[in-house]
Amino acid sequence: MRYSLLLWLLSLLVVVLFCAALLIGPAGLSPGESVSALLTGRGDAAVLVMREIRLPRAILAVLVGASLGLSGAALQGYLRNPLAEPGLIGVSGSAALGAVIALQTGLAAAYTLALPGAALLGALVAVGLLLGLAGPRGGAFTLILAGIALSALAGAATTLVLNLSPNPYAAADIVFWMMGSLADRSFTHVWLALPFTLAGWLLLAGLGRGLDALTLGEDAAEALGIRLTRLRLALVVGVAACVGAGVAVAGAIGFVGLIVPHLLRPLVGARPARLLLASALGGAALLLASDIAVRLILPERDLKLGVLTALLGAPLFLHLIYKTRREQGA
Amino acid sequence: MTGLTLSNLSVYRGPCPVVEDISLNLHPGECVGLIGPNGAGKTTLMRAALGLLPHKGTSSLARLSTAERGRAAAWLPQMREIAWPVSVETLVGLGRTPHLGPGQRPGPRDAAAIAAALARMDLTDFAARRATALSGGEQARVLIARALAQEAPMLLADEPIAGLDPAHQITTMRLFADLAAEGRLVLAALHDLGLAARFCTRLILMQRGRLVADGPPAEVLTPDNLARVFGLRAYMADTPDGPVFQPLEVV
Repeated sequence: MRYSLLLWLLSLLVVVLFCAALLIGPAGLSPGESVSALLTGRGDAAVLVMREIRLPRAILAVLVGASLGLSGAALQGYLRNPLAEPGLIGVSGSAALGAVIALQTGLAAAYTLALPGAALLGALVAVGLLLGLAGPRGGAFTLILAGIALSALAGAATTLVLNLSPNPYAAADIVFWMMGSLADRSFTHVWLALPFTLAGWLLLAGLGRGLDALTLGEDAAEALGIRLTRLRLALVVGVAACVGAGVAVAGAIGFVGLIVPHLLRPLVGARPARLLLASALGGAALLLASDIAVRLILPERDLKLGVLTALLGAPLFLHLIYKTRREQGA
Repeated sequence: MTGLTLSNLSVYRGPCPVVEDISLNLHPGECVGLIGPNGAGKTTLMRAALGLLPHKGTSSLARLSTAERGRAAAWLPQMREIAWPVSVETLVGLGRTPHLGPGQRPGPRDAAAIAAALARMDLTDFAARRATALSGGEQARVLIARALAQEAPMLLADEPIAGLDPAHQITTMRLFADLAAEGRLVLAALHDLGLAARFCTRLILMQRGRLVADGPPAEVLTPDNLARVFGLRAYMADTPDGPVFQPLEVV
């Protein structure tokens, strides 16, 4: 498939799903009511539903989904490993730890921004630790090791917080938050996530040429004029900014950053640079679709978005492994 | 850019020198074979010369900026890595990376360089094939084509003909000799001393990180050097077909 055609199709898909996300929900508004409420501001309850509930939720799905897709593609390209995903470098885990601490201490209940703020702080600390651990000149391998160590540490600390939580309700709060969801988010969340997300996208979008050159390995890429130290710094900070912001507002949503680049890779001729934009669009589409699905499947039970993406993603991933194995003739 | 100058180049792994105090002047038009037993420091010397390793002393290449170095020298690492199933043409096109400005798309000049590199490596029919689906030897040729597409005045190659069939070993060495004759500088680490003797204009012999001999093949591949460095006895003769070198036994 032509690359530009693919991008047009994916963009169209995102637009269609975005509109669908605005029109579907438990409030039971007709499409006509929804559109007129959104555009004209007529009809009190409908305006509230559209502008304060559905619109920020759909925007967040695009921001978080695109961040996950883009980060997944960038990390897979850098590590030259199709199994890499945004959670690998430990930023998601650390952001989640920050959020969980905010929930546990009650700060989250006292201030709206305490939870996402703590999560962003967690992501920031993670970046510092990661760069310190992996060293200034280290290669892809040390980054993976540092990321795994950091993820394990953040995971252990999160379990400790759960373990010490004062009552079952607090623990349930934490567990539900960690499943990842876009329900009941407001424009406050959008404005908080937006600058970090955009900054992260900007950093990652500039990595295309370097990631392409890394197809030949680190040594050859560096000899081709790619400054690997700088590339890695931009990668880590970029992933941390947009994925950290995503975790801060939506919790940890898995599999999107793993599956989307994997699905789209054959359609872009496996070129890491082309995969970046395609995966960003694909991630946005997948998260919009999943968020619509949680509203349609179990409208009254608040099915969590992260649960659905994992339920969808894991079998898909198994299928991909099976396909890869068949291609290798084993 | 005139050739490659190394002065007092040393590379240490911990306290141990892996490459010790090597000074060399390599000129455009030379096809230089870097020879020596395993662990002699051939790869390390080339990587340090490119500035890919921390080193003491100076290398004229390592002093260039990363982008300038990409236009001055093409580097073929020993590890033949092709991480993604991209097309052969795409992979060869990566050689154009140093010639593209920020955000610049490849133009007709780049396309011409890619086509020329593919043709020169006899790969034109492979252009649309997936690089990872090719055999090891074919991949090696694709990677050499990538280095050719870079159109750099210098080519540094680490065991470029290992794993190629005899015909492609000879065509590749012939290509290197031709590149040198066109005025480029080729520096290749080689284990096949016979091909090195036939096609290189100059050989550099290394042992345990040190330079042991440097000169035309006949002056480097002496019975004494062979016995001392490689532990080999060999047959060497000037024939109407050019120099013939055949290792005979371990001494």
